[in-house]
Amino acid sequence: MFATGHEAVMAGLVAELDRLWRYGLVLSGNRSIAEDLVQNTCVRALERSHQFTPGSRLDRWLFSILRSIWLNEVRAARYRQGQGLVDAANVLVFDGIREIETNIAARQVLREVQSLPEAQREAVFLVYVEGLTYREAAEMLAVPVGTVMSRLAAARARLAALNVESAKTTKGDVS
Amino acid sequence: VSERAGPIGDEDLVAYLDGELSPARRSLVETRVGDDPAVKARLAHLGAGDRPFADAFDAVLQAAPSDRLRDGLAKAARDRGSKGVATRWYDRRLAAIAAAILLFVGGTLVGTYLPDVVQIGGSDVERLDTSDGWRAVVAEYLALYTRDTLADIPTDSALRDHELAFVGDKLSLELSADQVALPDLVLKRAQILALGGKPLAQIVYLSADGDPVAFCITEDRENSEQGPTFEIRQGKNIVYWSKAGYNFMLIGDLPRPQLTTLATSLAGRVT
Repeated sequence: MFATGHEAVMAGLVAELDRLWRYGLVLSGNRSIAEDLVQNTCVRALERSHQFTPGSRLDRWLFSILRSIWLNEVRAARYRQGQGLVDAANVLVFDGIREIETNIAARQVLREVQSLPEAQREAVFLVYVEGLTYREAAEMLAVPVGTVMSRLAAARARLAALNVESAKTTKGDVS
Repeated sequence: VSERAGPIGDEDLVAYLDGELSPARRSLVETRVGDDPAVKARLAHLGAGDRPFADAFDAVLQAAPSDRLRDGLAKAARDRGSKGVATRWYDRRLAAIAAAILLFVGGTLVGTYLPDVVQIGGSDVERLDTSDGWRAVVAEYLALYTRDTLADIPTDSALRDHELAFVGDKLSLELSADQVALPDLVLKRAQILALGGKPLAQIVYLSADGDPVAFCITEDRENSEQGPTFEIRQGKNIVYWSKAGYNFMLIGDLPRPQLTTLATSLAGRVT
């Protein structure tokens, strides 16, 4: 369809912006940081567009760029500034979802996913939301497939445990 | 995905639920689930850890600040364009394409319209549809060429024949080395580029002075016949003509009389 990687990136980038932002939000838990991540991803993608292979998945290529910017630049800088990370202990930092209009059930799912440790949350997002296979997720995350499996298993166990806790709470309320 | 032997762990059960196990491992899990109530209970427990993830995250997508993200993309393209001539042509097209898509899709983003993207409206893109628009783009593109661009392409007549046959095939036009040979110019390469979603043949030569010269062809079923005409774009001399469903141009740093002679010669041979 496109003769060069550059043409493919030029034509495809605009259609991926929202999904890139969502990935940035999942990683950072912060809408502004997510926006900056997308902006920097655009700059980087335009610089490196000749490295993109036409016909391969542009979204995956862009996700990898965004992820590397997050890991190597943004997150590293936050560490240096002593701001630490968004993690399970600080769920409310995911201020993004508070402004998202959706039903209560969906909001509950977002809150639960965001409460997972970062590595589990990202695996859940890539596989269950973005639809990557285990192998694709392993490539994106640069880890063995077995690691993806254990992260997903841990996430599912944790979410299942939340069901149990929630059931207990409900029971407690009734009695 | 895993052929590991040994006990069935949460990883296996979740991979089983996700349809990610190899057939062999899957039947092993099924056997164990059938035989062992504890494994069966664990599978049910992990199954309860499922959620409507994709639906929930759709709402996040809807909340994306699309306008600002697109502005950011346009800015990235502009900033990059201002860094040097080497990227200008690409980035203006990028900005035009981005603008075109904004006009076209409004608030919704889908991936499926992409094949048509360069034919959607937008100032720079419309330009490609006009008979002289393509010459502007080709001139801008050739302006990026230096003497070094073609310098280390080896002379290989078999390879040139192959390239010309391929390019000719894409344009449904017969092209051979004899038809495109030009006196005092060395044929360096024939390739297909894309312009407005249509193939653009670019056949490049090096002049005796080492300057790049390009002979370009696009298909245009609706054009009207026009004899060789001279113009200057991007500081390059151009002779262009149209004939029987194709637009042609010869562009380079050659003196006008020489370029016109060569173009007239090509016009007689390539039809």
